[in-house]
Amino acid sequence: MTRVLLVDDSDDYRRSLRAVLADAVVDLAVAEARHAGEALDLLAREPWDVVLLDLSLPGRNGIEILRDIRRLRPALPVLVMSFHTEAEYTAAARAAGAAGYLPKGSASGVIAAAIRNALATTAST
Amino acid sequence: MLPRTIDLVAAARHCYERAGEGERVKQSDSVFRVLFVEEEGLGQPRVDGVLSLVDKTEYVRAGSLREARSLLQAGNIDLVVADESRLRRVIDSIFTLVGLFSVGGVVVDVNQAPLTASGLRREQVVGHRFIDLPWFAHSAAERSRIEAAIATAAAGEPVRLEAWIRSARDGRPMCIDAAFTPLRDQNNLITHVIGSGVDVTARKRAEEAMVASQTRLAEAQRVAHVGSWEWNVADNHVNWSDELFNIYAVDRADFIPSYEGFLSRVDPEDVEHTKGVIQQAVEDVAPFIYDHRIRRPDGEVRMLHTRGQVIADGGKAARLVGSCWDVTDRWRATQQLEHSVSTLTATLEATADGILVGDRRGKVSALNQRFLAMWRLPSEIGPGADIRKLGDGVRDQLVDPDAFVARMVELSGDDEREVHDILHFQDGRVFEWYSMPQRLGTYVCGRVSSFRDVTQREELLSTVEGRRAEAEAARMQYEVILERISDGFIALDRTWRFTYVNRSGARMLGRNDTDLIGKHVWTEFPDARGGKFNLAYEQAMQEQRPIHMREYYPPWHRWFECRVYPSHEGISIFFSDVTEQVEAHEQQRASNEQLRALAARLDAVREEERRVMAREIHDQIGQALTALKLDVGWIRSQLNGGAAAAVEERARQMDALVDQAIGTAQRVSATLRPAILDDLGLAAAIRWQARDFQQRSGVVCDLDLPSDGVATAPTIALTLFRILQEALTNVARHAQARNVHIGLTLDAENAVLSIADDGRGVTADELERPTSLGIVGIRERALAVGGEVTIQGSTGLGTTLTVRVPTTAGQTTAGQPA
Repeated sequence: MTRVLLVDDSDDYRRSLRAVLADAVVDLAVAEARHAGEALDLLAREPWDVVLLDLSLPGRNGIEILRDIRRLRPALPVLVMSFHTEAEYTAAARAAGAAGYLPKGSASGVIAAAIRNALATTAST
Repeated sequence: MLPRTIDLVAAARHCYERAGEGERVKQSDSVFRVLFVEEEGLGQPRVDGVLSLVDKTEYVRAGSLREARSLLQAGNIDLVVADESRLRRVIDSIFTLVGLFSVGGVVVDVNQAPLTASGLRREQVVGHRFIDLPWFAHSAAERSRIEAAIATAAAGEPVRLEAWIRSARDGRPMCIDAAFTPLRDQNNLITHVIGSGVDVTARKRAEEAMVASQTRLAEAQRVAHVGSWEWNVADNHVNWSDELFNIYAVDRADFIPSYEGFLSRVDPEDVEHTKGVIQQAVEDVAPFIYDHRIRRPDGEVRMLHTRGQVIADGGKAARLVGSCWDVTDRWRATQQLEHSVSTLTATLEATADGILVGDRRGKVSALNQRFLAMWRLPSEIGPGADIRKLGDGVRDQLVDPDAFVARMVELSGDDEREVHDILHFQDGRVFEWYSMPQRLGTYVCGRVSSFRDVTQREELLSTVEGRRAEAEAARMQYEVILERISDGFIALDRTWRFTYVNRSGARMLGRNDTDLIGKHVWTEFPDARGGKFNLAYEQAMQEQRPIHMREYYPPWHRWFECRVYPSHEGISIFFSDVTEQVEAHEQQRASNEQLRALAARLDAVREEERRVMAREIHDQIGQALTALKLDVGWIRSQLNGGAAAAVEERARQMDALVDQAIGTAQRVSATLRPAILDDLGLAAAIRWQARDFQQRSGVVCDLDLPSDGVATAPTIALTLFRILQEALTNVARHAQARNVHIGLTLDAENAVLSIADDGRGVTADELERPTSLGIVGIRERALAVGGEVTIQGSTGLGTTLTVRVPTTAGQTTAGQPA
């Protein structure tokens, strides 16, 4: 079973992404977190295969949350998603240890491929 | 050759004759070698006892006749002793007093010398305690000293002392140089004490006499401040008397006199002279007298008068002896007198007055050259000239010679009279004449007259009146002007009293001008005392420089502008009431300030609105659109060729439309407020902005930025970012640049942003133009966070804009949303 933690404060987006994930990944278990506190709590308690992290969460800087996750689970791949498409964001996410950077406006196919790719990388390591 | 075996008595006499009357046997200067042939009755202890009696005699012992013979053959023996009875005669015949005592001090035996000296018989001495003998009857103290000495010797330690005894025969005191020595037997046990003594009375008396005479000499030298010295030229040994040490103020223990040591104490200025005198005396072998100064260790200079004699040996100087007399006091007095006389003479000649001093007989005792010149008298006239004759010679120069002569007669008859006269000369000169008695204590010994040429002064006085009238006219002219001007004018003298107040001034001060004249300014206006005007006036007066000031005078709630002009007589002050002017200026300043605050506030509100809108777009529209994008994608995947082509096409169009909407939302959000500034910091935002600008304008951006991790306070980051945007807008619109360099440096105190282009260069005129709203906006933004902006344009070379903002501004400046 593949366990995915989806961190985003938009209910609509989470719902839509779930549908995309369900089609893209077989034997999938998805948990959702609406903010950083919730996400870190879940991360500390259960094992995960991949984290999908929205960079614009309420209250805290997304890059800092990413660093916290990496500190907590260095081997866990984190895919960063963001409404922003500027190259500076990609670079900052990579520098903070993101496994990939996904503009939220990307097509669902692109998103599904990216998640599969991240999972494959984890499995092989 | 064998020595003679002579009679011991003769040998001892021989020693004595060589030594001389009153001296001890041991003072004989050649060694007398004696050979003892040890026989029965001449035991070792006895020989030791004899050895202690006579010095400068060597004793050789022979234990047998054979040994004695070999020693004699070796030679060098003056005397052979072979018999105790002969030795006894030796001892008896010497002048040394010898006694043999029991360890308890009882006399066992004595030689002849003490018996001869005392007149006692042997049986009166032998068998009695030594100290009980009449010799010591005169003094219990001497008795106990002797007793102690014998006891010490009996205990094994030799003693030597001088003792005074009294002859039993004639009662004369005798000084005995006595020695007590223990006498030991073969077993080294002390059996007896040997006493020996020499009469040293004559020497003692001579020594005492010498000490007494030396003491008297030293005392005499001390009293007279005279020291004496002696210099042995050959070995450079110098002897100083005690008083000479006192004169040089050096201690006998610290200073060993020598010729060089003496020279080192001579005052450096007198060293060469001193050396010369002494060298001459040595060469001439002649007496010498000279004066020289010395320096004491504490630096005090003393003057010595030295008389010396040279004592010759074979025509050459062997010794110099002399005396030094400390004549400092006399020398100083002379110096002082010379100084006084010289001062007096110099003063007399330096004075501008003519001076004549006469004695009671009417003769000149002193005068100066000025006196002779003033009276046109020959310069050779000097002390001794007859004053009456001098008067007769000059009287005709005067306008009124008779009055002058009458005055002289009058003065000569009254020693006590003091006179002040004015003398008018026929050639127009005018002299002042002061004459007063010269006193020595209370006694009048002569008369001093001084003459002063006051011709010029008299001439001046006669013209002063005219000048005064001119000055008065000028003053009145000034006053007319001063009364016409609208400024207030006051004049204060050096004691802060009003000397003039013009009409405007009086009106502004609210006083009547005539009331103020002569009054003290700080008494009339006590509220101003110690205030800024007071301080400025004092400063102007002290430093003698004009002062221009504009100050508020609290008691009147008015502003005044003052121009203060100092002179040696006081200060002049022009002043005007500038309260309206200052208030108008202040109002304008306050209104500008309000305007600026309003603009800053508006800007803050606008930034806040933009921030809220940007967030709304992101959180609501952005999220919805991206969710929609996924949903459309999902629908399209579900259709997957199974729906009608029109539905597929409509879904595809929807997807494209959503993409477009997302793009728009992103652009609008970033334009309102780039999230990158808040999310990734100023450096990242600048980098993004520069890239965006380069893409839009085609102007190449070159960046020099700190790494992204360096934090900047949000207020500063926003301010600098907006300034950058404004500056880049200006570059795009006006600069015609090809390249832009953007630099950012951050340190503990400042954040500095610079934007330099290579365009045409902004002109000074453009910078000042009120329509250059972009530049005004940049300045206002910087000002709002306490920063400053410099813009430099160079025609054809470009424009550089630099913003410096204190990094503390971020924590303290409110009203700017982050």
